[in-house]
Amino acid sequence: MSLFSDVPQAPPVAVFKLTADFREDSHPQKVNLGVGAYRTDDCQPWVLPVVKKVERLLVEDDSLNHEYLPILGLPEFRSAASKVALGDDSAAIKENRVGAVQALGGTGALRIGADFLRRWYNGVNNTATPVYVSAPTWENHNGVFADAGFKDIRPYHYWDAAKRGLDLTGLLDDLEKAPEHSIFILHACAHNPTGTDPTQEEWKTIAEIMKRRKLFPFFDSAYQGFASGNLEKDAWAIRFFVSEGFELLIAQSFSKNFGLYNERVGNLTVVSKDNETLTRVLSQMEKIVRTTWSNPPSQGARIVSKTLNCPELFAEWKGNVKTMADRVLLMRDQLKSKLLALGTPGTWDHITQQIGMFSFTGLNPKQVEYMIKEKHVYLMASGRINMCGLTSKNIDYVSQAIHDAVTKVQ
Amino acid sequence: MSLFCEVPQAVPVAVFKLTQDFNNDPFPNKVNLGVGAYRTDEGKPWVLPVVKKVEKIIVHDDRLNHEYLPILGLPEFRSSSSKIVLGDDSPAIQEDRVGGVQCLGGTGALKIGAEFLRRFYNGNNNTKTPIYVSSPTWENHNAVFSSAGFEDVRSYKYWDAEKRGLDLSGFLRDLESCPERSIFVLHACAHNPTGTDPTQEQWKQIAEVMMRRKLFAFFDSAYQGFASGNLEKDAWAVRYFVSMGVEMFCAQSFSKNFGLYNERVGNLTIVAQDADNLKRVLSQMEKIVRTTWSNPPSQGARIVAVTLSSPELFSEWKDNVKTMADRVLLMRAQLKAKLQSLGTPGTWDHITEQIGMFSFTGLNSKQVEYMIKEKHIYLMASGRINMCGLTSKNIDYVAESIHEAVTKVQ
Repeated sequence: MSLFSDVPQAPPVAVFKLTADFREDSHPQKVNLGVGAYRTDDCQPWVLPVVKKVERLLVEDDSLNHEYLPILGLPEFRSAASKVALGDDSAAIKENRVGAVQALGGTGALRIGADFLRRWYNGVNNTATPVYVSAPTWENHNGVFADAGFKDIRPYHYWDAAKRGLDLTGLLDDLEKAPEHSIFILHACAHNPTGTDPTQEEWKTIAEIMKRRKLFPFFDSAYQGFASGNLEKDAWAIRFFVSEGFELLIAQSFSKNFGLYNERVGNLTVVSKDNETLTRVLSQMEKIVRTTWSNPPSQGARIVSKTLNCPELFAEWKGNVKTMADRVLLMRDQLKSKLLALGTPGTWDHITQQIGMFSFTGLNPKQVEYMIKEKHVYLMASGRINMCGLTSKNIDYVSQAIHDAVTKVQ
Repeated sequence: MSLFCEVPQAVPVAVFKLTQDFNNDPFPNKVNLGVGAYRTDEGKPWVLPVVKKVEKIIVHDDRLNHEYLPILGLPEFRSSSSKIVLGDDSPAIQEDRVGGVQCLGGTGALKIGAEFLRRFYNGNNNTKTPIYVSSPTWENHNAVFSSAGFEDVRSYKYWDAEKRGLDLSGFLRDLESCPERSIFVLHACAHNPTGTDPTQEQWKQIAEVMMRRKLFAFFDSAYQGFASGNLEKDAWAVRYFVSMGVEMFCAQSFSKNFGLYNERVGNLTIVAQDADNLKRVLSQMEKIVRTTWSNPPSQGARIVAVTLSSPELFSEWKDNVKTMADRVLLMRAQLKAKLQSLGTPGTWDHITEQIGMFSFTGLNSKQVEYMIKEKHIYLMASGRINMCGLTSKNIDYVAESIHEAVTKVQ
């Protein structure tokens, strides 16, 4: 008998199962609005031209080798990445109280941050510190913090399904009621899956309560630049919190804004009170990294570092990012127009009000099932669609399919 | 006051601290015999020619993009990696009961394996299952297993300091007296740090006891090909255990044998009783990977997969590996010869009997201190030296220094 005969089959990750089903579907007009990766108008993956250029530069550079990176990662990547999030003129950086850990994508950054907080935040090994994630949130947030050892992961009000927008009252209420020192996972911009972000005024209110009630901000920043097309705009919330004097963590991903999904490029930016604290915190993060992946992979970090640190390449990159953001905005615009033109029941303003890759359509599970089974348009059970899956060639089919779903299925 | 004012400064990882001290040392004849990475006879890192060639192939292949790899990794990498360690003709592979998880180097493979075993081996979440690591062993083994949640990490007898060889009877005694179902971390070849491997006959004895007492074999294979210059020879122990029909894990690293240290290329090979058990095990490994790094980095895995799947490139790789292994063997032979001709007290046969990158010189901690402080030759406090740090230019200096240390310091 096997040592593993009692190991249960784990359910597949929903978004990947969706893509697997999509792949097996032979319907000629099938559309994949599931997994969050950018697609061109030809529905192809896009390797950013600046990335291709830098990859060629790197392969010809004989001064490079494959020696282990430091445990915390490539130094020039870490500093450039933190600078992108906090700004070139960041006072916190000038005060030497900002550090970073190169991590495996946004997931890896969240994981190292979570492992650190569980060991050292709010006491030593305090697994009871509540961790709040938005309702809804990225499906992996819960798992990352639970596996880091936190026993009490709770939702905070976020999405108001009735008004199809932010449930600010509910959110603020949760902030007022949360136990002091609770950790809050905040989406820096382009909230996943709702695409709904607080306004600047709303962020100010959130920050005020969090400061007063001693709540810890852990930002998840996976779409900087991708959301609005503007790096500074997309980092406003993070920078505001830093300017308010918070100690905080930021899990940055370069998967989407560099299109480097499979090279796992992430950065955990640490903002602490002072340099001395930062040193101790980073030393403990090293210990955690050492037993997880020892030291991080070089390729993706080198590409990002070279790009961010060279003015011409940086400008080219921003151009590439704007290309992606603009196409998404165009699709948002067109989808809404077509639904309005079809006279599809309901309001569709949220499609253009929401920001980033995703839109929370408001379709209910039955309607989603109809879309998938009858129309071969694949989206998440929550009604979340990836705008990048829309193209000039399929947008009519998709609008018509949504129209049919809303009118035929309740 | 900082939220992190109680966070203590962590001690640096010894081997990296050693390299740091070496880097800071202005002495012209300094030698670094610390960290385990290959060096040429000029004392330089070596990017394998086949790696350089494949990197260029990859960068010019416009069919490739940066879309997320599957959670378990690049399929062609996983299968060719498992094949490399188990053999092309492996019955276990033919019986569909072998799987692989692409991981972040050997560390990542150990980590995922450890996390799985803690959750599902010998009961559910049985954190009390004893983990046995060799005495001595790679400094990170202990921490990887304890941070995965195992509470009882113990050592098994391995190195006999007096006879400068394997303490087989001590090892076998520990195997006979440990609790059933204990997990044993075995070095597949080129034991780190001692360079001392069991002979085939000794492995057979070890395997017999392990099977009889239901002990779980978790192989750490970081030097396949690098140890003897021959891939099959270096995989003998792993293949023997598999042929005994046991379920087991093997953490493979391609850091050394591909010189791809910083791209983090590893594979956790799983040998299960049958395809059904394998499937369930892999599904749970996916869950663990998802909350750790989501999906693995592409670059290094692609380089390895392309190389292993092309007969010409595979052949070129084997030559590159033999180049490295041969240089190490040459340095071993020369070091021993020089110590003997100097008449350095003690026996030095172990230098050529030991295998792989490392040699346990037998120098005691005072003698090591002398080597570092007086001679600016950097080695681990255990007396471990990296043979790759020796070159035709420094070997006389090192031999003489060892001679002095042994004769002057007790």
